[in-house]
Amino acid sequence: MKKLVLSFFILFTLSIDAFAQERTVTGTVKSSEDGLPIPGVTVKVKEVPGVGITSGPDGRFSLRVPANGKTLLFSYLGYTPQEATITASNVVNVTLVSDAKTLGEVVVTGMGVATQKKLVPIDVASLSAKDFPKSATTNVTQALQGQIAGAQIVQRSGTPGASPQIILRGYTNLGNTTPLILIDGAQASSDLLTSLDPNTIENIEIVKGSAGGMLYGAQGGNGVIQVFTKKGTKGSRLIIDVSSKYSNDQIIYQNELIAKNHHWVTDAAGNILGAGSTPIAPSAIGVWPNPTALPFATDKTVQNNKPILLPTFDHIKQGNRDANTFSNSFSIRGGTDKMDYTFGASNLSQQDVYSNNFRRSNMNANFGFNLVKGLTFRSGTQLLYTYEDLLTGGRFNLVNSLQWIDFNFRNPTTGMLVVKPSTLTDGNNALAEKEARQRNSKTPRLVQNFNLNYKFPKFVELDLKYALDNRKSDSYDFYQNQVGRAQTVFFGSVITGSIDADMQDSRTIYASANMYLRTDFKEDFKINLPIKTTTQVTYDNRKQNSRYFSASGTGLPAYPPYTISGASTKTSSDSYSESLIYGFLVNQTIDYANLVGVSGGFRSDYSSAFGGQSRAATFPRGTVYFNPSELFSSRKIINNWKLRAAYGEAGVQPGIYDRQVTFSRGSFGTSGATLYTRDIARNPELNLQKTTELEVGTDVNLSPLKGSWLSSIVLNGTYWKRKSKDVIQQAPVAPSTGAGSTLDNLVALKGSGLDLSLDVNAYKSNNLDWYVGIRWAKSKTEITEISNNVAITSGSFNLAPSGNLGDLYMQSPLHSIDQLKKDGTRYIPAANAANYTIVNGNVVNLANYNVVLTAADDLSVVGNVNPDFTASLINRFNIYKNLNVGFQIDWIKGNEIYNQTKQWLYRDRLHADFDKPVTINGQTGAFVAYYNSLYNTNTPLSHFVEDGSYVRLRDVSITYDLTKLVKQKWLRSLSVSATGRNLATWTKYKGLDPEATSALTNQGGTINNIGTFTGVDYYSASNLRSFQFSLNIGF
Amino acid sequence: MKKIISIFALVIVLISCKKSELQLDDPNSPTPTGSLSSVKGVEQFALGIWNKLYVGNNLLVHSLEIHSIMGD
Repeated sequence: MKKLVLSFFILFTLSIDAFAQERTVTGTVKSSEDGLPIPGVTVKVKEVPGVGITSGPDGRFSLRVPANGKTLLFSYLGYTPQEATITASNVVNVTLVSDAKTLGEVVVTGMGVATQKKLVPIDVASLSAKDFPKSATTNVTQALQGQIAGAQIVQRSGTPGASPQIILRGYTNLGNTTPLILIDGAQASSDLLTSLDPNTIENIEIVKGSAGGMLYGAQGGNGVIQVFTKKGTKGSRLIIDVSSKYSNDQIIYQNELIAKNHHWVTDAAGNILGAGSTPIAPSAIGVWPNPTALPFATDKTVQNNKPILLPTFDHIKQGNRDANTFSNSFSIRGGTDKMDYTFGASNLSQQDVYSNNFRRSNMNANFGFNLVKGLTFRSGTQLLYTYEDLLTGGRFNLVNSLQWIDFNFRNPTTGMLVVKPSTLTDGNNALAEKEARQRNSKTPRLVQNFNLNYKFPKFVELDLKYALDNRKSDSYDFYQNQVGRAQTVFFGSVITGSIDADMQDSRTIYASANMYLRTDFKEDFKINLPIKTTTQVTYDNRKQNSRYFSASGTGLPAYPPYTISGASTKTSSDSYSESLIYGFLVNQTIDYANLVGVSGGFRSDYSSAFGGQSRAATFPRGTVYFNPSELFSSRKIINNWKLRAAYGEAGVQPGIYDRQVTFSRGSFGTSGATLYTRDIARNPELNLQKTTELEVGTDVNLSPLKGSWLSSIVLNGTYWKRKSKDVIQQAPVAPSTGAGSTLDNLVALKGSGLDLSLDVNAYKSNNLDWYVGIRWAKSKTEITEISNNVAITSGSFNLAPSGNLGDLYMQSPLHSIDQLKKDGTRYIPAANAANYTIVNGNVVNLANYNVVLTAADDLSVVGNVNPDFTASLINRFNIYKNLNVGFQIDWIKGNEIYNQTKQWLYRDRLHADFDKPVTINGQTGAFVAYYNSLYNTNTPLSHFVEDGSYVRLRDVSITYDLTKLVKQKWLRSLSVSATGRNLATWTKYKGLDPEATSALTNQGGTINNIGTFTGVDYYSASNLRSFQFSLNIGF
Repeated sequence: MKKIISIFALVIVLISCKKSELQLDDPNSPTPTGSLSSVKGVEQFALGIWNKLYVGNNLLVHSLEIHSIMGD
């Protein structure tokens, strides 16, 4: 008994002692991103479970810590948890580092409600603005390139303001691949991404496929990109950020395209001779006569091996300057207890390497108010203005020109550039266009959204959104009267000049009403089951309308003013289009203790594309996730491991009037208007293009090592499989219909792919943080069915059952002397075989050194423009806290490019290949007949299909944080950056830029309804290699 | 709370659409039913065929077009 009493006494004494040593620890928790306090951070004592508190609105906390408490644990959603030792001062200030890649991150897109990533059953990629490549200054899509596994974002041109091709997950149809674009939850028109200033963005979420896109119904088939703009923080002081950037841009110029030598007739001194066997020389106004060609067609020994003694010019360099880009941005944000605000303004002024300028100004504002308890109102505004006076340029003529033509030569009499400096090649001097043409386009745009949200004390949340995207575009295109110029050649449609003025007014209105019903069995019903449910019921509608008016006049006077009113011929046209979609969504989610969750629902959409009597298109959906890591006794190594699967249907609509049969209008002499049937007939039976998709995936968050190395690894993997049916195609129809073809739901596609994403905190110490990100993805889309069984060839592409989308289909050189025709007979009779030989894998006729080609109707698949895989490697280093270094390398592998530019240069016998010797029957030389025979009158030929794979150093950046050096109280942050974009490219491709391709015919025409591809290089404008410097100041 | 719910209800009514609003016809092009119901429309259509027949230089297609649409 005595011992027991003694024990109690000792314990009592110790506890009093301990109580006596309990102390109050205070501190502030801030974010590493912007230095702002973080409210609501959980602060716990590591050694004493159960003792903890959360930080207040100002990020401060005050916690009574028992004597044995030595370490505080700080945790907050979206940030890396942190430990801090309690020092003698009892003050612990910490800065939490945002960790967007962990499963603690919250996403909204595809889920309807903000959901922790560990509970998300679909593949939602997210990218925080702080992880944007530093060189992504001109538009948002630059920031996304290479960052999202599986998303192919291809910048097809270096022209300022050019829209990239975005394919988030293979092809769902043969037309548009553009995903649905949302800004702060509201739908916007698809070109918003190229208009928004990256500085205004907080983060971007991407749902790649139909399984996740089902929430968006008839418009979600191509996936969804949602942009969240920056917002202020309630309770935060005024924050000011100012940023200034300068960039120097040059075109990517991988390879010389033009031969160094020639094969013209020369005199004994090597001078190129023209008519009358006299050396060619320019006329007084700078026009060169035609040189005389050696008879390469009849003399197989003619070689392209003579040096050009005349001064020569690199026309690509003459046509593309070093351009400068300036951008400045300014933003303020902050908040009170009841509201938050942000306001920003920015300006971009970008010179085009080819001509003139692109300018963009943005103003943005975002305000949030707590009106009464539970009721919040938010308004976001983006005011955008773009102005550009870019010229399209004749890049064909810039490239296909004789080496000695100086495009910068000016007529000494007029001081003007020579419009057509040579009559041999068939184009005008593209640079002279600037003297004859002025054009510009002005586009003011207002993107405005409102959000009213009310959270009932329990169970119910109501949410209303209304958004407006209003854009007016005003374009002016003026070709002056060029009658008085020294040459009769001219720019524009007529020599007497023309004016085109276009105006377009487009509006997208989005409205939605959402109700969320949430239950927690433990809290709400006192049932001891860790079940939480969310029921979402949504109604939304999307209205779009666009009015277009165009006026033009030709035949302008030679004197000002130059107006359409003063033109001798005037024409005008107008059009109006309007569409409406509305639909209902019901989705039910049930989560069991973070362990397992299921959801299911459907969406029904009504669309004006199907008329007022149509039934709704309904898209079902189901998802499941399972977190095995919740069952682990220890989660020291595997912090989180999630398995997930999702099935969903979504759609891609036909054109808004594609089901309405109408006539085309024309005119006929003085008889006035005429009517006739459309060349491509519309089809009243046209259906929605539907995709069904299954995706399965896993997300794993590991902490394999406890030291500095490999403290965190996040792996995301998704396999997806998709079928698209009722894909719309232009089908040939009987002539008696009066149309050449009709739109019909003919094609079925199937696709599959694998997306992998790895984020590693490779090394972490006081002086060095090293992050590595790897993205890898592959996908393939096959044609499973064409219901009329008619294969379709368009340009260099083919669409045939069992083929792959993007197949290049064309003639080829014979590769063996005994090669057979389609009918089984030999191309070259056996008796003549001795007259042929193989050169570089091609069959060559020894009689004329011409390469023998397959017949015009003997076509085959010679490649595919889609890559076997895409990959990116992202590295970021933080050195001694102040220095940040990063780089990103993108790798596109296994795609082919049809180099149409090269084929045209073979026509003009100017391509650099003509300098390369070949050995034919023991004779070696740069034989013109050999190369010119491959020209094939510009009909697609496999000789011009090249490996388009490339590795590109997409982004390199060095940022130095000067804040601590300056040590001013008013200064929150100060940093300088030097960055580079597209600095180096490694490729076997022989054109200018393997990324700058599109899908065009051999005459530069567009290819429709066979897939939206890149992969044809028809005088594409190269992308830009940029060097940038920026200064960022925060107050 | 009643006021708030009333506001939400009012907004939902304002943004809702009727099914009849889906009937949005192409306002830019004449329809066969609209344009061929008058003598003038038929004349214009005949002129259009004539125009394509000779100017379009596509005799076979458009003679068959006449056959199909004129119903002879």
